[in-house]
Amino acid sequence: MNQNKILIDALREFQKTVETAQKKFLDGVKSSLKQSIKDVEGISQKQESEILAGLESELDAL
Amino acid sequence: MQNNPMENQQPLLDANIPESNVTEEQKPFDQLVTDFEAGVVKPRKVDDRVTEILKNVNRENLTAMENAQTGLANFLDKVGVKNDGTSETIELRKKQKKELHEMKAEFDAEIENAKDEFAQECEREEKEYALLQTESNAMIQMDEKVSHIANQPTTPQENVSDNTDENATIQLEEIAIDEEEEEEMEIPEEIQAETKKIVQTQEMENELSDGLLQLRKNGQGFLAKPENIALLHDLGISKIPTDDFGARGGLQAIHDLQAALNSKLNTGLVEDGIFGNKTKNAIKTYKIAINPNAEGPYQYIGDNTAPAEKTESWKIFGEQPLPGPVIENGATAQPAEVANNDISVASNSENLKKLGIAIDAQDWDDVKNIPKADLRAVFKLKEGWRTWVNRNLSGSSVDTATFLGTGNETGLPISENIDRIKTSVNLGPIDIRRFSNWVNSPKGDAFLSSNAKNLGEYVKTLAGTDKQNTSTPAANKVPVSENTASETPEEKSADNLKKLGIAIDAHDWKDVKDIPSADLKAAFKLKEGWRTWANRNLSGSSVDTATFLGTGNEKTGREDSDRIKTSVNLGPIDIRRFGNWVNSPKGEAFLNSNANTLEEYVKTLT
Repeated sequence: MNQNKILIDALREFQKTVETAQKKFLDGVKSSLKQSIKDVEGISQKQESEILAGLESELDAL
Repeated sequence: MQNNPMENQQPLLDANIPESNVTEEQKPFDQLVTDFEAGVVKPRKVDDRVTEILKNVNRENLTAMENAQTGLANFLDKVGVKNDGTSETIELRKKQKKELHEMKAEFDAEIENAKDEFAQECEREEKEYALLQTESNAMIQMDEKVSHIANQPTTPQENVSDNTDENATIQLEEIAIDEEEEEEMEIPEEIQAETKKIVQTQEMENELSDGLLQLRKNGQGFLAKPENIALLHDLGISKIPTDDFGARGGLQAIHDLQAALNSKLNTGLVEDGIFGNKTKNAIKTYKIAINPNAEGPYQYIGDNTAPAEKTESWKIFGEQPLPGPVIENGATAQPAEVANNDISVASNSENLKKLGIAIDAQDWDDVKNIPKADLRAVFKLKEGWRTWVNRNLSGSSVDTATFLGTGNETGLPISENIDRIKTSVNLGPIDIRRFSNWVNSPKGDAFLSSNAKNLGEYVKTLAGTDKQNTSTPAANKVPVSENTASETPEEKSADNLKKLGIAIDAHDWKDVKDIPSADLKAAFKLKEGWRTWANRNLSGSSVDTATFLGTGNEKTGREDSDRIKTSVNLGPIDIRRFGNWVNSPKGEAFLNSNANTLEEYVKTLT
């Protein structure tokens, strides 16, 4: 029925918005964690590079 | 920094944050759409499911935030940064927490906006849907108006008062307005398909008409040709008169049937030809509506008083089966019985038009047997079902199934009103909203005031109100018009006329389609309309169309009369039919075109 199609189209549009918003949010959470780690003081630049290199795959898996 | 974090074999982070492409794994909306399409989820429940999905999304987001915070804490522990509650780690974690909550707030705001848009979209589309329904009704009403005017008997103009002309002009103007409104509407695919089917059938029947003319002349010789047999089968005709009874008797039996149906239903079958669409559909329709097991024409129309010999003649007509349809190797298959349930979409559409109900023709089978008492109960809710439900069922958006159903999904106690609906309304699979435009209409009231038990029964009584001439016995008429084969199908004519925006009868298309544009242009130059012009120029007399367009010079001066005679040659066409078209954009478009005739012009229209 036409009206069903209308509702389905509206649902699809809504779905797209929710998915985009959640992707943005989850990516933001990971970036935030990454940035927080970078912000830890008391670690030298070299150490930080080493740590982050080691963590890269772990972070990407988040 | 005391420990080298790279030496630690444990993961530094313990932050299980979902992948950002989480929806590809879960696809909760896809599942919702699937369930909705399958009818598992009703429209009202869509909101609930959406809320449920959003709750899950929110839960995932909160978990991700917690994991991010835990991940940072673990990291700090493992890299040996002192976490004494006063150092920078506190600030770091506070900062992270603030960031996460800001992101969460941003996400929530986006979702809220999306939800609002979703709700608005649904509401807007629902209104548009309702508007479409209304427009569909308007289309039907317009068709009825055209049909009504087309059925007005032609009266010599000397005997008609100017009032009548004014009325006709008003009616034509109304139709022109309706048609302009209709112009913006797209023709639904189903209607296009239906029209195509009708045209194809009509073309096939035109071919058959030629054959029938030969049949009348040559009797059984017609049946010697395999292609004629195939045509008859295609039309659902599987039996012919026996040799004893003869072809003439068989045709006479059909004539009798047409006359009987005309007297009962006023369906114009006589003009339709023996095997015309109307006759065929009427037979099939009423065979089912009245007596599915009927054997003869009089039983079809419920007339048990028919002379025995006539009923007998029909039986004889049905006793001899046609040879089977020709197949590739030249052999013939066994004739198939005409299916009792083969009511065409076209006839359903006709029924719905008569009722003025804007529902699909395919659904006629669902609605025709709805008991009147049930519909009456619905119609008592004069303000329409949704308004009523909103007021009485706490303003909730209740779907039809709930409205008509047995549940108590509204969360309210089952009130007296709900009981009233449940006990009085039983429309089965029919969406009550389909009748919303009909509720307060004269047609809806007429149905409720009738003695019919259901819509199917009622529609049969409507045919008798058509203003067609049925006083002439069918048997005295020539059953198949000599012109049938060359006539443009009625439906196609109507379609052409709609494209042009001319409010004349579709039957007359054949008369107007070949009028040279030069002649029409000459007619249109009389911008004020023929009668005004004639009254002014032909000494104020009430000149009829024949005089206006004719050969005489009865009341006019030579110059004016000659002018008309030489410039206007519209044959049998009443120039008033073009009255509203003269100044219309469509009329102007035609005049400005290079087409030589209306038919040529209509082909350029899409």
